[in-house]
Amino acid sequence: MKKWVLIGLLVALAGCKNLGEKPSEAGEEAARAGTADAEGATTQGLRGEEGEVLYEVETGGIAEDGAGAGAGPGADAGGLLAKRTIYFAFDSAQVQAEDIPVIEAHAAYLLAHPQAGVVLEGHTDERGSREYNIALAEARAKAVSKLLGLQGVADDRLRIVSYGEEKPAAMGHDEEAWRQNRRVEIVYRGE
Amino acid sequence: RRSSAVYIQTLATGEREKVAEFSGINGAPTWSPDGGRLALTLSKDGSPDIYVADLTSRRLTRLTRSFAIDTEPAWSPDGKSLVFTSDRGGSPQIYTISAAGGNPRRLTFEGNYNARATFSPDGRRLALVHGGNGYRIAVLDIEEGGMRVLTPGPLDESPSFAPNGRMILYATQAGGRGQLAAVSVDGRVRQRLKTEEGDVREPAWSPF
Repeated sequence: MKKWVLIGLLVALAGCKNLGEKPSEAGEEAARAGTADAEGATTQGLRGEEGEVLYEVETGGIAEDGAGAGAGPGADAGGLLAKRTIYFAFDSAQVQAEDIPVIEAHAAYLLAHPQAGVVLEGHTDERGSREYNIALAEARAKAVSKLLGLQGVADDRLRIVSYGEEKPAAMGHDEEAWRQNRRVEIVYRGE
Repeated sequence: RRSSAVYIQTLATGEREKVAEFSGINGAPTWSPDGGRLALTLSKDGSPDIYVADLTSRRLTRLTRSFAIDTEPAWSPDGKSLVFTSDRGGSPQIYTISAAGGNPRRLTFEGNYNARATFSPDGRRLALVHGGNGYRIAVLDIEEGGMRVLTPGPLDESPSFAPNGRMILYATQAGGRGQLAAVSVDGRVRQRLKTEEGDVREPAWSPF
């Protein structure tokens, strides 16, 4: 008799998930026995095609304990640094030329302030399929991340989060709302 | 930590098991027809790709390898192949691939947005989201290749075949919120299903 099971896709918000020890320890243990995480779910690790243990990997090096707190430019920063949103054309993950100076300004700030780090939040408008939009939003955040990297910002200062179409900035169902939703938000840690 | 993860939850006991929480996207999970495998989208190796997790051996196999977006896998009823959405050709289209791996084959050639495909129970057709003049539900005959658009849009999504293969349930926007609608496979009969306040999204038929 088939057991009834249900799949849930959950997005864990900041602060909810902490896999604890260094990845290799957590992974080995999880693969062998099945540990319980903060929400009481057991973790049975998966194995790769060579039989090697795969384990969950921490994304980015920005700690949740508040390191870098308040290290952003602040709400009253002027000029290019005040601009925290990059917009995109429909179905595109290409950063537009006019936004390059903004990204350069944030890169310069990050290089001058080693304590600061950013989360790049990718978003899409509501049109089309949900899962494709999660992927497209990630591609947008990665595009911004790549440009920051080309300016010299190290990978571990940047974290990427995709919200797909799930967190619109504008709630309408028209071109103007859609335009405002196709975006990447640059969020400084601790701000 | 802000990360996505894929879980399996047992309805009877409430037990939850985490299957995947890699860096990047962990999403679009879908059961194989025999319940032994999970296809899902992971972007841990650079870009979103289709993976299959065997729940007995716990082995994770990578099915697609492209620099493009590959996502939204759906199993054929016989469990031997999958369809998925990929923009490897420049825009989102539906591709098919053997469950054993190999080269994907493109199935949709009309329009520049085709996504979220799902099989009919007899495995001969796909319902999908077709963009162009708004987002509408279309049916594709896999063998013949012909596509028929069934709904008017402009924001129709997440189609799902009824077990008898004759109706398609989908989500639509009406009255400023998400609502359920159903359309017959020949497109002749269409109706909105009355629901309470609030948004309805991603409907799915139970197997029985």
